[in-house]
Amino acid sequence: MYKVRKRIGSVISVILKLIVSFIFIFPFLWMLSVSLQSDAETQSMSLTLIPKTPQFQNYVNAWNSAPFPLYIRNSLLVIAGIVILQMLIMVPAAYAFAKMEFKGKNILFGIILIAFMMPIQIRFIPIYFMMSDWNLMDTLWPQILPHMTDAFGIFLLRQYFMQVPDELIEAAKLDKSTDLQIMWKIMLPMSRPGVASVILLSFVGHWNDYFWPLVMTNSDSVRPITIGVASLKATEGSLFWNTIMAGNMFLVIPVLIIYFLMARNIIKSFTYTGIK
Amino acid sequence: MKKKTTNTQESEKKYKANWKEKIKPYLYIAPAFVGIGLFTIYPVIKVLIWSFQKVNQLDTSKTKWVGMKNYSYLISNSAFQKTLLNTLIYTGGTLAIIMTCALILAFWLNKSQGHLTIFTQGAAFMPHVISSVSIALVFSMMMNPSFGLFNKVLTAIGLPASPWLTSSSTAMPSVVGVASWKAIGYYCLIIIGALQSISASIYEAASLDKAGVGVTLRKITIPMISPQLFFVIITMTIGSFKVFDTVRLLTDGGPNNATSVLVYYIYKQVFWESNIGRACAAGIVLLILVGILTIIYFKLLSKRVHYQ
Amino acid sequence: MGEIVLKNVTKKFGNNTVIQNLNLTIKDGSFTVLVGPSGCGKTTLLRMIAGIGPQTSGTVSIDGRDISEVAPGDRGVAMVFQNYAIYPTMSVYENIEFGLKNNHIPKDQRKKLVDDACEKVGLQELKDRQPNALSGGQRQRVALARAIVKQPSVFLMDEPLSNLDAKLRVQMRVELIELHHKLKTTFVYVTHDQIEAMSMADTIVLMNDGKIMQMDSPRKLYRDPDNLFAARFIGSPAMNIRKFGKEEYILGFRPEKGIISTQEPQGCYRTSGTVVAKEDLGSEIHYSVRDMYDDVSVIRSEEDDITVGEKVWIGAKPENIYLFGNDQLRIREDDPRYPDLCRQVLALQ
Repeated sequence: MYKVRKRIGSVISVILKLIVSFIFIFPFLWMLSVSLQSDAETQSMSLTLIPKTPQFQNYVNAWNSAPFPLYIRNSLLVIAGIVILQMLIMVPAAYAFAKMEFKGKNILFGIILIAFMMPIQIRFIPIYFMMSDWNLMDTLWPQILPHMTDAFGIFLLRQYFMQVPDELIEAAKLDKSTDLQIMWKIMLPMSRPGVASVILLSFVGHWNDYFWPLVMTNSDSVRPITIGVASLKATEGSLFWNTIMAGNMFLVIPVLIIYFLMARNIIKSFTYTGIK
Repeated sequence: MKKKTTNTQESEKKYKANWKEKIKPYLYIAPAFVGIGLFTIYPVIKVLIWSFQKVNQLDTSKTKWVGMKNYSYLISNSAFQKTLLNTLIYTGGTLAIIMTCALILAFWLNKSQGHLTIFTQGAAFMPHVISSVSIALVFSMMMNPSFGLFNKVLTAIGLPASPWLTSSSTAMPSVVGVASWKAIGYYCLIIIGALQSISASIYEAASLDKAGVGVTLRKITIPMISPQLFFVIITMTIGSFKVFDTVRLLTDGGPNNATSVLVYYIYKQVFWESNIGRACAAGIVLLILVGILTIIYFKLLSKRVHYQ
Repeated sequence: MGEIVLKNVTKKFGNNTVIQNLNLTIKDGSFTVLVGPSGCGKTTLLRMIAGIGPQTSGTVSIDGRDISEVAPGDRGVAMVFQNYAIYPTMSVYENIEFGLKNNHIPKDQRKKLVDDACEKVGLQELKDRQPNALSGGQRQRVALARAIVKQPSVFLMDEPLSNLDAKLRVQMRVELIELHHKLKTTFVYVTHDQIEAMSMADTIVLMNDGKIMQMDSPRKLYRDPDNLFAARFIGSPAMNIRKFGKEEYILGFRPEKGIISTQEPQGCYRTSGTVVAKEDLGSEIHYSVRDMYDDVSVIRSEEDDITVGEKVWIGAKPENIYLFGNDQLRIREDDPRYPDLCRQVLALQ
């Protein structure tokens, strides 16, 4: 009797889990479905779950409706710029906070944490004018420079760096290594999960970024893919959801691929709260 | 005579070497602080200053100080009041829905193992990594009153169709719904992480202490995950005050300012009304709200000491 | 009051059988130690008695009452965990009181019981402290008090001393033995440390690979091992062994009963070799000698004049030699093979 109850319980559990998973996945499935629907199917009131003939043409239309190659290039360049700039700035800073002793260390770190809490939703106003005054509005720099100090990244890297045994560094110093060599050859390799986390978070975060590029770009030449896809709604109008969804897929697919490949890592990186 | 010189030379060398060593850490953190100075400290100060001014972008010499005028405008302005109210409704709504769902989901998924459980966790988390743009577009489409999936399904099963984002009465609930859907997985997984940090032997000791399910939950589990719960609540609340993307992309603040929130207000003031002073005043309001919440968080955190 | 009987218990984790058809009776009021290497099943067995890791099949009874399907909280057992498992968000007092509260014991009775338990373990001053403000030793006392206050028929302990520093460990060992004398309840104690087992137990259950290798008093286990495993597990340094004969018999002798000399000893098993190490421990000296078969034996001696590198004779008197078959079982004097094997041993080089 107990075994029967257990069996029923586990069946219900399986069904519930599938329902919950479905709730979180179906918009993407629907997005895929619509992206392959014909105009007639999209604009009718009938439920077409699987389009009769997949209209890959929608993707071509979407691709051509806006300068997507340019948008994607911009997104990638911005991300690359941000990641490189951040690594150059964060690694020495994290190293100093993790492994060096100096006056005012705690206060300075505290300043970083406080700065972290200043919302970009107000900082953008002066920064916008700053970029304008420096004549950078037609470049990608307004999307890159303001992110140069990522407090969370410094915090995360510092945590990982602190766990590298001091003896390794002392041994390297006895071997007359420069600080640069120590950072490059010891700290980074030993903190690979931390570095990977930071880069992953940066990549996904900036690929998906909408507010900042919206505020910091005035022309298509520097717009990233998020802005491009968002504007599809305006250009295509609400009759051509199939084309819009096809365009939407350009934005979603890269992240989905990364997510499928590295789900566990991504979840670990994203849910790091610093609380042990 | 010679000895003295050598000693001085040596100590000078040491002093120089020491000086170099002492400067190093500051050099390493300097670039980071340049960034903070330029893009955090300077902007925040500027926003504060501008909030007390009437700013003329074209001719900065015409910018003048107006004291509290921007603030008094905001306080008495009904549109801004609506904005604040909307922001509070949005925050409250998402907080309630996300906390309830995330907690229930976390406790349930934490109990079992196996591939399906992990799959479900992964599925729930997925909306968090996808851009708000994509999600807003899909939901805009699904919530389209004429061709959207939601109304298609509702009418198919005999229920009335809803105006979703197009009516001022249903717009905010719709936005809250979408935002909650996007965030539940993220917070759920944080809570699961917290639950898994509780050693199994605690529960075993509790069972030997004849603690029932309710008692275990109240006296052991919840207190032990309370740091993470505080974190979740505060992060969620602060994040909700700063919401922009979802609102802009789903409803553009409408219909009729039904979903106009604080950051959206600031954005419009800067780019549509060109009223920088007012925008900055609203920004300072946001900053104060976020600041209060942060202080509350740290106060609560220091009370609840770290036990593990 | 607290006799424990495990009958034909089996424990499977998925497809992995860890314990198969094990039978064990633990005497009421004894201090029984389950000892063995990692993974031998001792903790699994303990958890079966507690009910937190129930058996896959078989029965567990305490005092004649079958508790195989009874919830842990209703078995009348108390357990001290290796990591203490005290509730981090409750004070010491609340930790100890928790079980009593759940059993609906009235408040004043609770207070008396908790105060009593605190006194027994010396926690009177710390009742209002939070666990994160306690040292390891103090936390352990809280775990103990929490167990004592339940007034159980059986105390279960899972390596409770392994997280303490050496000095504290020795002190707590004595205190636990005293506690056992005072309470006269059955203690079942798990450890991997054979010294701890030997010093605390009145009965040792030696386990390996899910099976009981021998169950005896410490003295008997030391003097009269049933098999090679028992002979080598108990005693430090371990018994010296050597294979001999075509059928691969094994002889063994303990370092403390070994002979080391520059002269060839007569009338006993002996072999020659070179001293490869000499450890002076103050009260005695440990010589490691490598013989011509490349086996290293350790001899404990009070003689100091032998040096490293010196060629020596080592051996043992016949009454100190243990014999084992190639099935690893002990061959005792009443075994028919015994006299012949003795002759072989004495004739060995």
